[in-house]
Amino acid sequence: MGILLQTLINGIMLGSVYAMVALGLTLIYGILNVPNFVHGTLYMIGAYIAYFAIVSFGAPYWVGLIVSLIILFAIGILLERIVFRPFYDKPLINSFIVAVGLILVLENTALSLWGPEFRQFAAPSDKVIKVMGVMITAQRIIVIVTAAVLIWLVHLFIKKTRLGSAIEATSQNPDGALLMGINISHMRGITFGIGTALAAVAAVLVGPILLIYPAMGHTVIGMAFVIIIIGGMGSFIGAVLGGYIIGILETLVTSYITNFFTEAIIFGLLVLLLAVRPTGLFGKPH
Amino acid sequence: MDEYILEVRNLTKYFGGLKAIDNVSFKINRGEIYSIIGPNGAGKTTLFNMITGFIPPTEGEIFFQGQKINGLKPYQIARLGIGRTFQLTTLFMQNTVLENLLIGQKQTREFPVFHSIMSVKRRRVSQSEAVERAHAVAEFIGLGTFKNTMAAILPHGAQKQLSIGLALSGDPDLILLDEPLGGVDMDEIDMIIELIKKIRDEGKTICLIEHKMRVVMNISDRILALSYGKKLVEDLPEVVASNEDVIASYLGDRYAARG
Repeated sequence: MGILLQTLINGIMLGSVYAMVALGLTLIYGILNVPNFVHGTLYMIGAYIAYFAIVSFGAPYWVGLIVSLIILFAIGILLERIVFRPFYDKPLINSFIVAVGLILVLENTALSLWGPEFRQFAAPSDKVIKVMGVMITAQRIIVIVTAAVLIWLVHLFIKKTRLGSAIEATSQNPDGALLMGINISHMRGITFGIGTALAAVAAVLVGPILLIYPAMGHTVIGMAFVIIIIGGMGSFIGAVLGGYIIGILETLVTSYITNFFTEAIIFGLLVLLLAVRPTGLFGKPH
Repeated sequence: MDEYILEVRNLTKYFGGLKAIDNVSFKINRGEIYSIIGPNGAGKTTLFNMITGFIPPTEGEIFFQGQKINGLKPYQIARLGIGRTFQLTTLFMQNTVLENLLIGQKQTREFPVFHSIMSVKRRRVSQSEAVERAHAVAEFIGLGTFKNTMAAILPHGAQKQLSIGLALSGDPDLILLDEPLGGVDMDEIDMIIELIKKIRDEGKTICLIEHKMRVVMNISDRILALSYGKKLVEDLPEVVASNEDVIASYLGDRYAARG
């Protein structure tokens, strides 16, 4: 019972990270219509920025998190404007190649600037809480609560504000949005900014638990793709629920079955699901 | 106030070497139903695309309420008060009828990003106004009973009605309808014709592209006939219907057989 509870909490924490990364990815998918492959690399950059703010400049953890969020929001807007915008009217493969190319550029830049070594920054609190015989570090609770609050805020933003409904309209139907008087260029930029900032926050939240290195985005982005495909491409609820499901599943498989084939099992499930529901759990056929 | 709501002056559009619109000029009077007819490829939709800013003209000028609008972006033109439907229905398919209409209500005026996030109280007031107007538009276009139905599962005719509702949602002065009867069932046609007349009776100006000649001849105040991008004739329906060039290039057997 104790081990199961511990595993579940770890799964929810991992799921929180996946949900945030996948949510950003699915929001940006609504703009690009191809998965933004560079998303995992931006997640990595978010972690490094918080690392330098916290370790090099001695900023408190939460300041590091907010600095990383703001800088990655700006980077997202810049990337959309400079790198992706020229390709909207071109075949989709172009945006796809651009995103893959960006991974090489950014990751190698990170490697040459900061080196391959593992880094880590300290958690804001090293308290350990004991619940029902299970030891939980405060950081895990911080990850779970912060992620849930942030996902809820993004949901409220999209559903309840004018700007949010303009973003939703733009991703569903750009021509229709234009006719409604929506400046779709601005909406695309803001969406990129929000999606990228979500990845950054996820990275800073797990920074004290996982390790920071230039290739740290690879496993996360691989899982995030699986999640948005399972959830249904472009679906908000699909990305969030899919994130938690995969996070918990991955942790359960690792603890109870095997440590070696986790990803193979998850991908196998993806194949099975797509055979039954080709558009994912919450995806709608076009 | 200007007598003309829209003036198109010497408009020309090249697609590569093809002259899609060739030196076309016309004026639309305030409050009329003005129809544009012509065979496929005559340049009707190209004309709409230029008026709404989706493609730039090669030469010529477009004035809306006396203001030059060519060169403006589509969303800016929409905010000035020109609504439009597309030939292929353009809806927010994953949203309900009411949500579709709300999107338009909310976006009609310029809003600063931070104002919309920060000033919650003021936003709420306009939010309730927007909801009220969205309900009113839903009733007006005859979809009152479908308010909470997702757009994707509406019957085709109802989707056409909703697309007209979307074009109306910014409370525009001029509405461009691109084949609102295209692919619509016989019994749905009358409903949409009534809707178009109702919109005109609200004091709005309508510019219509339509292939169903009997409808066009009945409903229009004036008609512009295009052929291969050139203006053939612009006149009252009965004059256009009896114009030999028009009959030869387009109406021909279609209208003769029915009329």
